[in-house]
Amino acid sequence: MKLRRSPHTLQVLDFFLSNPKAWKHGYDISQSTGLMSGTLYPILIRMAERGLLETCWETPEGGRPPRHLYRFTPEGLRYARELSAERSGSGARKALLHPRKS
Amino acid sequence: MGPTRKFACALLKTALRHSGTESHCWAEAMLRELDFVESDWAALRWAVGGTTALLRHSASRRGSSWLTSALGPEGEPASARKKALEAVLGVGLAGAMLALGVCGLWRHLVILLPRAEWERTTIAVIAALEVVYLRGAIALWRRRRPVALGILLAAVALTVHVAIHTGHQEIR
Repeated sequence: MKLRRSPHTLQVLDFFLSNPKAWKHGYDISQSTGLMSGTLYPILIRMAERGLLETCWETPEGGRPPRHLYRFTPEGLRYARELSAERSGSGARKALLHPRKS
Repeated sequence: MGPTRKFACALLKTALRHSGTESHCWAEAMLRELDFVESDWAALRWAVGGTTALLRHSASRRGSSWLTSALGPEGEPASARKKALEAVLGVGLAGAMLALGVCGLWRHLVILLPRAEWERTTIAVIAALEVVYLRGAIALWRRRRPVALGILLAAVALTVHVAIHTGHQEIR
């Protein structure tokens, strides 16, 4: 198992999956997922330590200090896609086993 | 810049200054993002959350490195197995001492002492045994560190057991 599949981690994985090739800033991830820095950064750190996320520093523009950027590594993308397929598969199975009455 | 944002900035800068090499890059990343947080209160929440995350990260790293250094440098799997076996031996030694010493003594105490005195005397005997564990662990620390760690583990387990047992007695 690569990561603990907490709802917050899945939220972050889903956010990266929405545009897997693009580099993302920490605050933008926080805004989009609604996660606070104290929740978000431990997830990002774990993902980077397990080789699922690559990080780099932005090239500074106009004297502004550079920002840290994140995106999936090929392995991270594969893992997130597998996990997403697994989740949608189990969701479909649940829907088949317990169909909603209209 | 308002005082709240100034405080948030100072908090993250302090965290950055005191962060270890493994957390430094992340601390700097959080500090850089602070410029893009709109409101001052949101900036403060960002800084507090970030500092907490950094503290947890540093603490977990220091904890694992302490354990690694306590067990010695990482060796081959066979060496790790040997160390684990030695630690189990330490726990076993401590357990045997407990079984022979305390149980033997306790059997005599049951005959000699009134029931009300049992608990206090048992705790005194266990406290003496804990001292023996501690001295044994200190003596073995340099030569047989995994065994010493095993003995310490058993000592902690015994202390927790006694504390829980005593707590239950008090609740009743």
